[in-house]
Amino acid sequence: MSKQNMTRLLLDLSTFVALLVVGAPHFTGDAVHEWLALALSGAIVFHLLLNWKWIVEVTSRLFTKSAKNLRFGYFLNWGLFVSGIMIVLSGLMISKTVVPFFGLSLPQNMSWKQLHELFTNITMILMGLHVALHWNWIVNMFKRLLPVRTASKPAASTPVATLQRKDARS
Amino acid sequence: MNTVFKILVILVGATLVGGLLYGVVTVTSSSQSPQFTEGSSSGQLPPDGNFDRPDHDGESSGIQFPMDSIKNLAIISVVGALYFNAAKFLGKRKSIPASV
Repeated sequence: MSKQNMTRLLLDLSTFVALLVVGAPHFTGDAVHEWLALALSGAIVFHLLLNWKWIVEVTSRLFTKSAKNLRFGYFLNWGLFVSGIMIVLSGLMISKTVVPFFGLSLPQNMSWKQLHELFTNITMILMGLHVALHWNWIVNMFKRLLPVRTASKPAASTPVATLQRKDARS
Repeated sequence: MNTVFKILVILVGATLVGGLLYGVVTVTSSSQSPQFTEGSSSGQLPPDGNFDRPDHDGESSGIQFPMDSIKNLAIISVVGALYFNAAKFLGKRKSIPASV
């Protein structure tokens, strides 16, 4: 496995786990929820940087015939991007820890909380589609990372003596 | 330098989208509910008198069972499985030649 693919896999895995942890503010508490969400935003920027080539290539030939099968994934990723921004924005607007840490106070508005929850659910749906689209890549990466060692059974006619180590023979 | 440019493009894109969404939400919600700022000199109070972040209203703090994570994982799994099966079904339909 190439170093870049390894980096991608590790980053994507940790981002996914962080997303699940961030999605449980009752479990982590507000401070961890908010700071981890900010770190997650950074990880997503890094994810975009790693896949920059794909973004540029598909954007440049989006409406050609060759990119027909890529359009769904492309617009899905844009949906994820917009939805993620909405989560961060609404999260900052209802922030208890991060925004006060910087000495700021923002106007309180109940609609931001509703939007935060709504876009969290939308992001999870889009994330399900995103993972499904790249499922084959994920499985292949894991197969390369953890090669299944299928012990080949010795043929019935193989004499037992040939299977013994040389130094074990008398 | 190239990487810095890419990061700038991402951040500018995020700022534009965020600004647009902020504008839309502010305009639509300002006509519906009054806004209030914590510690503002105007002395305006929220309708329910609660200055806290509106999240986790009335819930006890502390570590709890990560039900939200499980719910999110379930959503991701179900949507992914649905997409996979739909893609397989459509793929099979395409591969079957039309009956004469």
